[in-house]
Amino acid sequence: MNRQTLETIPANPSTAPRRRRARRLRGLAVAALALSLPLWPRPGAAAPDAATRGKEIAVERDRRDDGYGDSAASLKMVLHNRHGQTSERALRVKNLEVNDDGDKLLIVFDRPRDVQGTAFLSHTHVRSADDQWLFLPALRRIKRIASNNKSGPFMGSEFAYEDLASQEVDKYRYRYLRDDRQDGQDAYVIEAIPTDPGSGYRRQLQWIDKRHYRLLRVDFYDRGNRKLKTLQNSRFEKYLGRYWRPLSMRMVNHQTGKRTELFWADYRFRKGLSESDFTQGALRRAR
Amino acid sequence: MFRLTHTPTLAVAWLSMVLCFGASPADAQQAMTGEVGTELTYFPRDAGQSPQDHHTRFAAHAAPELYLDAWDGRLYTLVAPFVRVDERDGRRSHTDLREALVGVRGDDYWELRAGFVRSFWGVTESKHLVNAINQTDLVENPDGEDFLGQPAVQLGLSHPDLGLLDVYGMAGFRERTFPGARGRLRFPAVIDDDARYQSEHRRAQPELALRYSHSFLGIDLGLHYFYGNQRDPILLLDTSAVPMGGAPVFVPYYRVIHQAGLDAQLQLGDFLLKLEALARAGKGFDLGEEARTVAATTGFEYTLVGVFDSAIDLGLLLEYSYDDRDFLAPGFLDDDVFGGMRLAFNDEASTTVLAGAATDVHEGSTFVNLEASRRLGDSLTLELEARAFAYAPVGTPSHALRRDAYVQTTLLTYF
Repeated sequence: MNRQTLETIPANPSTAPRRRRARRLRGLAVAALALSLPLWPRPGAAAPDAATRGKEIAVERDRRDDGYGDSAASLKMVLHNRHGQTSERALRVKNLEVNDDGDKLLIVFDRPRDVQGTAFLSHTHVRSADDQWLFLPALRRIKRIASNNKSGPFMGSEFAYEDLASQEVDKYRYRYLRDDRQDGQDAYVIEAIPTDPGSGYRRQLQWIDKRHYRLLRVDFYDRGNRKLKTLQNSRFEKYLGRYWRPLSMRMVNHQTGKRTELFWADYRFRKGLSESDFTQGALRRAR
Repeated sequence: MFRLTHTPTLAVAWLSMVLCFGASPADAQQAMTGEVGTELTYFPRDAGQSPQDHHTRFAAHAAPELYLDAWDGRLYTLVAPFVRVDERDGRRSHTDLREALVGVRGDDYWELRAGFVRSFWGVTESKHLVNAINQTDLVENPDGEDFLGQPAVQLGLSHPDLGLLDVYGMAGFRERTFPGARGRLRFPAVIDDDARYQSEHRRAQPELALRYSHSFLGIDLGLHYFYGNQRDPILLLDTSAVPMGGAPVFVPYYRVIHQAGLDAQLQLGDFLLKLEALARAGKGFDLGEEARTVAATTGFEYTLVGVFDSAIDLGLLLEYSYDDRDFLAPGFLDDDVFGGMRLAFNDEASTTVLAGAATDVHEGSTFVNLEASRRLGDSLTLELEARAFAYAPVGTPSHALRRDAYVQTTLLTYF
């Protein structure tokens, strides 16, 4: 009798990049950089420079997150509306880096209770549309869902699916803007313009710290180029000696006055997850 | 009133298993979840057949679920009983074991479960044609989206590159539930309690089902085979029975069938294309010669993301169903077109609305449906259902049901 409330859904709350493609792009970026050397430093050095530099920074950030294998974490979301009322979401996420293709992701929802036991499986693909399925516990049914929904809100929060999805380097055009200080750290500010027409954003401004290439802050501009949201990542912790993950994420919507806070916990890497943990059989079993 | 008709010997088996789980560190609070619902239904029109005599109906249900596991989930037990209490119809009050099983998992590739199981096969929305395992709990809701538990031994073999194979061995058939004489939303007939079977084993008829499924290149494909008592009964007019309040009495007859079919789904841009098709062989409708019949449901779902510059997603559904059997049983429409629209508001309360209509192409009977749901607070959900026959010509089964248009609201509490 439980009519489903999570019918159309989500995209890719994964934060892991594509390994091989990133390496190829890095090579390309380095070559482009080398070729442009005679042009530096020229006053009024123009767009090609900024574009290359921007891409280089994005590629490096991507590269630094490579190779973690698999990961699992718990997530608590706190939604704040304009009137100060809050509601919570709780879920558990498992991630698998895949050779030669996009990552696989399995989410099990714990709260709110009406979606408890609902599970979401995503096979992201570099060269084609993602495959996404939802397991609906009331009917014990696995339902495929359209994966074109990237700009919609994830569980009613201020995070869109594309915000939580893995940031593929190819999906944006970049431009280096300036240096800045953010959260007491020196950072690069780059502009990222999505090439995917399905994106809800015209452009993003990203603050990436110089030392560790962590994403500190993002300003999102809607399709009308009005400032829409700001994301701030904080409480970074290092895992396996090299992978940084923010334990807190805060998304403020400037236009509606609402905000959502994400709290990550129980990060575990290289648990030995494999493809068989991300099949439809596994989706059906997920608890 | 207590209609748990199958002796739960397996229930005893799992109970002893549960007692052995002393070593499991399962948190007692988290092991038990579920829902409780209270439902109020209003029928605006007078009932068409005595002894139906009411306009309002109050009912409640509880569906708790207990899950315990040991050895990192390799051995587990799951019990999900169900109880419904209905103010008006004694036959709608019933209990069931939706699930009551013990499962064991060996590495990542196989899993064996035994007990009352629930499985869902299929991809279409208006009909669940290939869903062969579980019997429909029709008295719960005429849309046929509620199912009874099925005793089975189920073996699942899974491989990331090869797909998923499920094999079911079953014995312990569940009969379809029907409203009683007093209940509304029933045909101009009373369905007898005492079913007849082609099989001499009756409910103990051994049954076998297999399903292979795999996903590749944006396609989900499932192939299945089923042998056993067909879940849809044939309704035979019982000429010897005394009509109750003028309504004839029908007896459900369950025949043994072989069935093979497929279900497929393809993602193409913003479209999800769907197909369910099957062929079945069993006794013909004179209960004489073997007859082979085919049925199929096909359609699509098209999703528009963020309509009217908002966060609302709009899904458009269109499906066509074909079934070459003659009118058999409470399947209202046999050559139907269904069109619907699903709005997901993507708000904090996860508000969704589904509006649709189904038409029988030959008869012309048209059925309209509106469903909505919204979360209130953290653990409460409000659901609304409004259904009616917009057009129900004389001489069709829908004609009697045209008086049973209803609005129903359900408040669900989750724990």
